[in-house]
Formats: sequence, C-alpha cells, structure tokens
Amino acid sequence: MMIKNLLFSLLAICLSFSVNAQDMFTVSKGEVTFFSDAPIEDITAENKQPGSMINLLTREIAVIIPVRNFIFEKELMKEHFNEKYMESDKFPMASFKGIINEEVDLTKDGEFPATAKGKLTIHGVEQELTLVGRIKRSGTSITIISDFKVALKDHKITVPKLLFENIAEIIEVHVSLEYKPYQKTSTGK
Amino acid sequence: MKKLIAFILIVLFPSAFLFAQDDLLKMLQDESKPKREPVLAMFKTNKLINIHTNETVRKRNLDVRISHLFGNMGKESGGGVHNLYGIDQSADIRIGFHYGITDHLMVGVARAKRNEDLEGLVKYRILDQTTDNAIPVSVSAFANIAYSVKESADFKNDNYRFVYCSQLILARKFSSRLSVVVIPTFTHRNFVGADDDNNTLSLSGGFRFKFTPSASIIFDYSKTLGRDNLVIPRFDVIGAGVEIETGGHVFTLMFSNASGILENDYLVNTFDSWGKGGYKLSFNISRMFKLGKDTEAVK
Repeated sequence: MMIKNLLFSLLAICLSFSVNAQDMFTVSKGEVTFFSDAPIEDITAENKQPGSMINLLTREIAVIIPVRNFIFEKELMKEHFNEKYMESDKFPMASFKGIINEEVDLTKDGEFPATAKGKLTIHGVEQELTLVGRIKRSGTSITIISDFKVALKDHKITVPKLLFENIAEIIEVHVSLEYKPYQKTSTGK
Repeated sequence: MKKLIAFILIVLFPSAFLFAQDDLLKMLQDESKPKREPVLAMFKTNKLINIHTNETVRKRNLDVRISHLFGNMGKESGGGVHNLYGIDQSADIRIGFHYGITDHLMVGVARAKRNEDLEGLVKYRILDQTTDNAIPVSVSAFANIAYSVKESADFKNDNYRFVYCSQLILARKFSSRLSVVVIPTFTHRNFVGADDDNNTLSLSGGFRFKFTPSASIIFDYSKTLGRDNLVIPRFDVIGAGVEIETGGHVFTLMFSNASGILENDYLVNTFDSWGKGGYKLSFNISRMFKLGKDTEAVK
C-alpha cells in the first residue's frame, strides 16, 4: 500500500512537471529596436532575432539578443557598433532575466500594464532594473511590449574619442515580443 | 519492489528535473547555438600601406581615396633639410574611386602620377572568415590594369603601355587586435628592359595591430622574385605606419621606400632603398560615401 502510494505520488510529480511545460512560452516573432539621437546623425537599428521565454507559473521572463544581428542603415555603423561600442566578439549576447511583478492572469485573454524586475546585461555588464510595459494574452499567443532607456555608462560602453559618428549617451530601446507555447522539440527559428 | 522504486526514481526524476530547470536564461542560451557570422572589421580599408587587404567597399558605397607619396627623406637619396626631407616633392600621387557593386564585388578607377597611369581595378571577396572558424581565412581576388598615357619614345606600340597585376589575397583576423594578410602577385608588363622579365611573381605580407579602438599600427613587406640580375637594382618594399579611423574616414600616415603607389609600379620598379635613405613620408585619406538608400539587411 505504501509503495503504491509512493508510486502514485511519483507519477503525480512527474505529471505536474510535464504540466509545467504548458506554462512555458517562447518567442515566435520578436523585434528589438534602438534609437540614438545625436547632433551629427540619428542612428536606429533593428534586431529581428531575439530569443525569449516566459514561465507563466513563476512569472519568470528571460530575453537574449544576439548583438551581431542588429541591422543598420549603413554597413559602417554596424561595424562600429559591433567593434567599438559593444565589442560583440567578446560579448555576443545582450540579455535580460527577471520576474514579472504583477500577478497578471495570463490564462485568459486580456491586456495588462506590467513591470518586470531583473538584470539587464549589455556589454558584459549587469544592471538591476525594472522594465515597464504591457503584456497581452490573445488565444494561444502572448505579446509583450516595453520601452526603456539604457545609459551607455551603466554598461561601461565608451565612445571612442576620435569617432565622428558619435552616439547619444542614453539610448532608447523598444522591445516587442510575441510568444507561442513552448514545444521542447522546436529549435527556435 | 524496492529495486523498482529505485529504478523509477532514477529514470523519472532526472528527466523531470531536467524539465524543471528553472533558469530560463540558461535554457535560452543553450538553445541558441552560436551563429556562423563573417568576421567584422578585419581591415579598415582597401589598402594597408602599399599592399591591398581583403576588404572591398560595401554595396553602393564609394570610397574616395587620395594617396600621396612624398620624396625621399634621406640625404643619400636626394632628401635632407633642403627639400624638408622630401616634403617639397611628390614621388607619386594617386586619386582613386572605389565603388561597391555588391557587398562582395568592387570596381575602381584611379589616376597615378608617377607613370602617368590610368588604373582600372576589380576586387572580389571569395570567402569571409567566420566567427566559428569554419572558414579560417578570408580570400579575395584582385586584378588591375594600368595604362600609361606618358609621352615616351619607349612606347613604340600602344600595347607597351599596359601593366597587369593579379593577386590572391589571403587574410586572417587572429584577435580583435591583430589581422594579417598574405598576397602572391603575378605581374605582366608588355614592355620591359632587356635585362628584365615580362612576367614576375611577388610575395607580400602585412599586418594591422589595433592599439586603441580607433588607431592601429600597420606594416607591410613585398618581395618580387628573381630580380637579382638587373642592371639597376630594385629593392624590396617595406612600409610602416599608423592608421586612424574616425568613422567614415580612414587616415593613414606611413613611411615607405616604395617608388610608386600602384602595385604595377612599386613591385617591379622600386629603386629606393631604406638603407640608403630612400624612405618617404606618405599619407592616405579614404572617405566613404554612401550612395543611394539602405543596404537591405544582412542576410
């Protein structure tokens, strides 16, 4: 009897873990853009290859952005961005890992303002911050939108003195991520 | 029965725990394999000092290049304080326009003073070194034709005015600081002196070492083979200098014993020797212009 109970509870535990999988969502379509407003030249760049996951149960969220995949208007800007500012050969990924503060109910359709507290890592330097945005559930998909600002000095990004193509000290970032339920076999994109 | 429980524990739990891995970030990172990307910024511009690099001008960009080679600095080779160490003279001037038809194909035209040459050139990037080292080197092919419009009794036939160069350019970025290039060159001249050969083979090598985010030390060396029996001796070409990038501009300031700026010229006709004061101050300005709108994303 004992053993049967034990087996049953084991089974239950395992089942609960697999139920867990349904709480996981992964990005199906994402876009990260940034904007630098500088005296000589405004610079914008767009990245369509962010990776992200949310766990609805724990309200955890993680985002990674491959720095190399930002697309610029000019090829030379891309080179400077990677080589001089972000040093993407040393720090290929920017990331965010945090927890959604509000107890939003994402099992039903709806849209909520939300904040997420966590660590933003850019240029290998970690910063605690709270992101503000909106989170929306519609059908099987979840959408997150957030706008925030990044100060270069917070992430030890230095502007080379000789570079004419200067960028702003504070960069505006816009993130828009659309999620679908996570399937373990999926290889992302 | 106990064995069965143990078995279940071992088999089910690890897989369950694997799934329960709570670090989402780690999961993401594990899933995103490092992508294969071409190495960026191997060299800053088309040329190092005298020799070419594997770099081409990107699509719809125009590189306007002004190169100036002053006179010999050393007294033994005609320099000295009287002409401010060669600065009063110009051994060669090249004004060139290099244009990117695609991100891999570049064409250019130029004028070089020394032999009154008109130059037409083409460079094609065959391979790009990748970040994962699947392709360990970058390879470009370069060819040019120099046509001299000089009035000279030597040019009895118009064909004599042509000099052709073709190069295979091999380059590797070893670290974010150090890039190295090696180039074999085949040169064909339609007209040469009696002691000379129409076809020559040269070997060049050079490097760029970045010591601040915008400044690099550059060096190159070229040797043309089988030239020991010439009546007037020719010398190997050595250049050393500093390259400064300011975003859009690349300034190069260097010393070199090259007698001219075109490879068609200096590889086969460098009469000045470092040992005899035949080194010259030289500079190059490269200014990149973007023509038309938007290179459409990097695929």
